[in-house]
Amino acid sequence: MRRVAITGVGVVSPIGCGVEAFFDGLRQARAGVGPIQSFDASAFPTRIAGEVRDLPAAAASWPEPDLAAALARDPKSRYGLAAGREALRGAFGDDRPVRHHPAERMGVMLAAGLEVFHLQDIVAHAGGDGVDGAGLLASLEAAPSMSRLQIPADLAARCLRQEAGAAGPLAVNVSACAAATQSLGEAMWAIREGALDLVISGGYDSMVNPLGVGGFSMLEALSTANDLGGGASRPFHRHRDGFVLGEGAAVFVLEERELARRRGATIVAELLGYGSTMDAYRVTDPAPDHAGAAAAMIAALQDAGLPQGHVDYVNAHGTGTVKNDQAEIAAIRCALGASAERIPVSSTKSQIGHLIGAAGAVELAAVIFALQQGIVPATINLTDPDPACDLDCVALTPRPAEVRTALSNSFGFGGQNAAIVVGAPQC
Amino acid sequence: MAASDDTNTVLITGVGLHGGPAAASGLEPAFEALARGESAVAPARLEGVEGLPPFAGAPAPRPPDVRPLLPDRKIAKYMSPTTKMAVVAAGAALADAELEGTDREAAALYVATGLIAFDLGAVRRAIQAARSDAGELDLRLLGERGLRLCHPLMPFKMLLNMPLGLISIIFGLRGPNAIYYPGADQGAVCMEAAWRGIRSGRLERALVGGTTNGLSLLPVATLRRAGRLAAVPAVAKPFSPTHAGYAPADAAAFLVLESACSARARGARPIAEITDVRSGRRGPFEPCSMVGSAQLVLLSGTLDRAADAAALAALPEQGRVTSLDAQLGHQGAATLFWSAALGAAMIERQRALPAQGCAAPDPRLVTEPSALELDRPLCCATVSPDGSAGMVTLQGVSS
Repeated sequence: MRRVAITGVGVVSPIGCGVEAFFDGLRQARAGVGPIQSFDASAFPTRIAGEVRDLPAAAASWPEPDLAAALARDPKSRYGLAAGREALRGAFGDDRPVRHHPAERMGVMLAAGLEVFHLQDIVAHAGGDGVDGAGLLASLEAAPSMSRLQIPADLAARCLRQEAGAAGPLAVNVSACAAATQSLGEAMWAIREGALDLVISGGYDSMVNPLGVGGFSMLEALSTANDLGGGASRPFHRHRDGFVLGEGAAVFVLEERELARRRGATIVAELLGYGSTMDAYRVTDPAPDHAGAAAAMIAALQDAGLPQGHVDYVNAHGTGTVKNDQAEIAAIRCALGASAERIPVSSTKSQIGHLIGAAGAVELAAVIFALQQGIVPATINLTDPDPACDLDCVALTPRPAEVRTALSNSFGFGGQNAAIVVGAPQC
Repeated sequence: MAASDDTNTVLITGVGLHGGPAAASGLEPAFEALARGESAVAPARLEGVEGLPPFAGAPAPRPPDVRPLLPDRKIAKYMSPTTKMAVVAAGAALADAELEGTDREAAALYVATGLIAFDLGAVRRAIQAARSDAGELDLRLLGERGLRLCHPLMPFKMLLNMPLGLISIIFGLRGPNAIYYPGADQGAVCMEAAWRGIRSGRLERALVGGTTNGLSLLPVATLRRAGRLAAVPAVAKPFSPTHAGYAPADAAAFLVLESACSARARGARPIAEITDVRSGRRGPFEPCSMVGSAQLVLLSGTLDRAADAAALAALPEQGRVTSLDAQLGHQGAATLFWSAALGAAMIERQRALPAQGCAAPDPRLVTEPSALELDRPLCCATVSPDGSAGMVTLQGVSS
């Protein structure tokens, strides 16, 4: 059977840009959450987020003025492009992927968040009785680029396709919080089943903007523990009060393992299995029987050919909302059986916040950290665990452990469940 | 002809449509309306938006009524027009396939959705409340009082995964899933994921489809900004001498795909076999050159006369081509599913529908209804000005 190797990794996150900086942030159990600086959130109910602070402008520069202007206005696309470039450099150095794979055998399968809407562009055209379409169109047509008003979420994916010289499918997954893990899983299947030889996969997102923070505030999904700053993202904590938005990206180069070996690539890890289900329950709540989430984990383990409970670490979805954390712990117990009691579980969202469309990708990078470094990332801020979250939720500091295989969960608003199994490189 | 005992054979066993010239959600009335030359493309307007220059569009015949489908009518509150169209078409496809019970529950679900039709009406009061004395957006005002004026369910109407989540919730699908965005090529991504999963034996069946609310302000403004909006219906006709631009459509289409074994076990009636699905970007008209032995290419997405000419240039000498864009409009993420449904109907009826308004002097263009053979493939291809393309190849099935 064809196997799927990860040969390149790129990360942009609130605890560091670049794989090494991100790994260092995990090692140091650094908090990436703090007061929102990218816009004036002082009158919003939630005023904290995990923001990217130190991405060099050159990391996401683009020669064409139209696209450059759009990138300048859309943080998530910059993050996606920068992470993708780092992943391609890691996999190919200064070489070009098309020297090693036919262009039509290379695809791009990335997760993206919502389109960016710039409310400031609309203000002048929203009257009491409706929208002044003529004025809005005139404004759009006077603008120098597509950067006005609405920036399509697939921008970075299209830039990366062009840069990599890929001519295979471009798939832009928008399944919200499950999107990145779905993208990685579908990419793994596409390679394993012979449709493609290389896929640039992962996710990028930023909803740290007035509409994103405002919208999730309206749904009462966000933590309002503004005074806690870096301590506000508290998965599995007795007093958790919602999630904290984060932003960033992680992009991976996935290659068919034998082809990667033949060209002398360094194999970082292997994607072993993927499971995807839907709750078919409610838009706003996880299913009370946890069946959908557990089924995704079980399916991922079966897809990987692993027996029940045969993983060394679980990177939880772990958002920090009351219902989701309890439901996930119950689902892990259901999926992993008695082994669940001894398997370390942690939520990286405690450090970086919830990256929505990029969450599963950055969390896969955290799993790779665990595999490579032999360190399970911490659930920081977990000073007082919820008795209902009674698995081994590695609290406060990272823990040394031998990790050969790991499971990473992502569950979406609307009932999408995705789980992926990752392994250390096999001989 | 499809080998009905082949476990790798992927069949279409159900179709549900929304949009186009017929009011019904079924394939038969849609096909017959198109065969009669009816068109959904007309001078268009957008509700609540004043002062737009004239343009052509293909509105859905009437707002989709989802209520009869909902287990709980409150769910309608979460639904944007994009989601409502998807739900109506998905429900029709499942009913057409008679897919029920555990067979339905285990089905995979892959959806393509168009650009968000940002609901300016939902945020208008908030924006007005957040307008400073200088007429600019004041984020302090937005936080203090603007957000409270938004409809509390507004975020659900903007989340791109809602068509996927709500189809799952309403119809009880629990299998592997994903939702892709925003162009016509994403339809091929969806279809390929399901097709490959079934061929590999990983899936038994899947509901796949696309939905787009093209007749809303931002998609229309985006097309106009790019110089791609047809000013009148007469110019939104591929292969006509005046072809210039798209007529954006409101549309959705869903298909039930399943293995021949699964279809036979359920007693499902296959409409056509899918023999190949591809997408990519080597050249804008690659699908035309890849059609091989296809007896007909059902082409969508050509923007203007230059694109029509390039498509013909890429077509094999023996190939024939038609387009229904003049009657359906530019269906974006729903395009390839509508095409696959109509392509299946053409093969089943052994009758090619012509390109309306087509006047190019090329013998390969289908200008009149003409015969098709049941056992030769038909290729549905969609192209876009940025070079992205998708194609699905169909073949007839024996009764």
